[in-house]
Amino acid sequence: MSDIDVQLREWVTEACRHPPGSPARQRHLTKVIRVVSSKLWRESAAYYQDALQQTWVYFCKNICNGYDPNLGSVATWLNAYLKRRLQDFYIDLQKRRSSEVSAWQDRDGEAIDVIDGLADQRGDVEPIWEKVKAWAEADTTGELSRLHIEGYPQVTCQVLILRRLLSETSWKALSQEYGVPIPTLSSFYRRQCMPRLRKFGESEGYVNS
Amino acid sequence: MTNDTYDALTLPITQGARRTALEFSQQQPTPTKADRVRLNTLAVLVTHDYLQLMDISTDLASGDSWNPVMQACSDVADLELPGLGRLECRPVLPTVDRCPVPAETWEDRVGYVVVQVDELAHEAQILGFVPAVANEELQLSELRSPEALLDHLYELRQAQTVPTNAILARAATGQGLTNLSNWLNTALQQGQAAIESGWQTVEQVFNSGELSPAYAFRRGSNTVRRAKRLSLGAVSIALVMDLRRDADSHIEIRLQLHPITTNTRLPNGLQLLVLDSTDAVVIDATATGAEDFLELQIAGATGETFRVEVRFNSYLETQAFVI
Repeated sequence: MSDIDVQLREWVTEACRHPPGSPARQRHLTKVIRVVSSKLWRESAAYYQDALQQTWVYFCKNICNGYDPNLGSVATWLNAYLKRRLQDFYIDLQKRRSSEVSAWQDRDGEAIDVIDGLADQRGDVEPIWEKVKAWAEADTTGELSRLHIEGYPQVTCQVLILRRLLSETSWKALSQEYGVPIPTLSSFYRRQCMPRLRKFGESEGYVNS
Repeated sequence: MTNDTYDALTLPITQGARRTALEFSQQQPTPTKADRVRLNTLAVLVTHDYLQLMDISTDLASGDSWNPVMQACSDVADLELPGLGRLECRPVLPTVDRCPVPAETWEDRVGYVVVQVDELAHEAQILGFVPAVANEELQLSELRSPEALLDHLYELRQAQTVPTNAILARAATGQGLTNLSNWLNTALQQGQAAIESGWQTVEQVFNSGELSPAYAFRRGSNTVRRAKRLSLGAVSIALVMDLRRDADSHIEIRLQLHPITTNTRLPNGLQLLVLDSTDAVVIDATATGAEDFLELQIAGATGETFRVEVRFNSYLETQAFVI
């Protein structure tokens, strides 16, 4: 057994001496993931990373009761699992491809331009940033243009929201333009503007659960 | 250079993460903003996937990073950790040595994780973390290991659980709550010398006996000012409270944190928070290492309760009040 395998086995033993969610367990699992990841099977399939993530989930859940060190190294154990998942994804993809082909053929064998369809759908909806811009410019309650940084009546919520929209103007540029330190600007933005933006988002139906 | 950082943790970027990131970015009108949103989303998702592995619960949907309005209006990559707060997950591209940290993320964060995103390889690396940031750029060489993040989150949870329960227990029996209306009335009637136990005058608390003149309080005749020395590990801080009766039943409260020694700065990462009776943060401020004081102002009516917390690293000092 290589030095690395001995080290990995020690970390696994140490991780399993502590309950799930404890920092000692988390730390040792992290160490194992860091080292083992370079020893795992790799391929370029689009679904490879999904199979790998499932492998890590499996590793963290089962290392303390599903792994028998006498049957092989951690990397061997995980590679076996990873390859099974890759095979599942491959079979899934083949099934989906064949059903897609038959669906396409139903329409007189003509290829449907999926991308065009998507673009049309999106075109109907007003982008969120435009809604925000219109809302901030209209400022129907007058609140956004009333709220300003103390001592700087020209630096209002309205100005900051419009200038920060799409991160167009940097905090540094705003700070230089108005002569207000960045922490004062950003703190005001965070306390006074962001809550109002969230509220506007809610009124538009974007609810953060 | 960051590719071979010893502590970095390589993790997959799943198809689902790629799809979500693309979806969010397609809402943005400029390529620059679209790139930003896509990378932010990937950094949050990779961190989320990692914390899930570690049995640390997360709430993706409640972050600003998941809110379309906030995506357009700010540069945030926050991930809510229920009961702890928001973790900022900043993305960087391979081969850089610095990570930009936008000013809108400087406060209200339990820490900053830096995630290197390699979109060609569909792979990300958690490079490390820092508990607080001081300016718009973070040198990657300052990062602590991903394991340090785990310890930090654990310490936060420990620090929070104990005092919160203690406060709730005391609040339930009406004990442990400092009554500010009484405090103000007594001081105004019997003179400034009448002091609630555990509190002192500013002169008693500070080594020099005076606050630096630039930040001395504006005082009126109906104002009471009290101070308390707090120890957070090796750091000693003064919490100063300024009370002023506003209308009949309203009291304006100004809270300040000062270093005990004048002409010094507050340490980077020191936090002052006000929480309501449901333990929700009402307002907060974080020192970046550049400030010589922090200040928050609140106002409330008789009978309202609130709690002031001062946090530094894993240390927490908490004071409960009723107006």
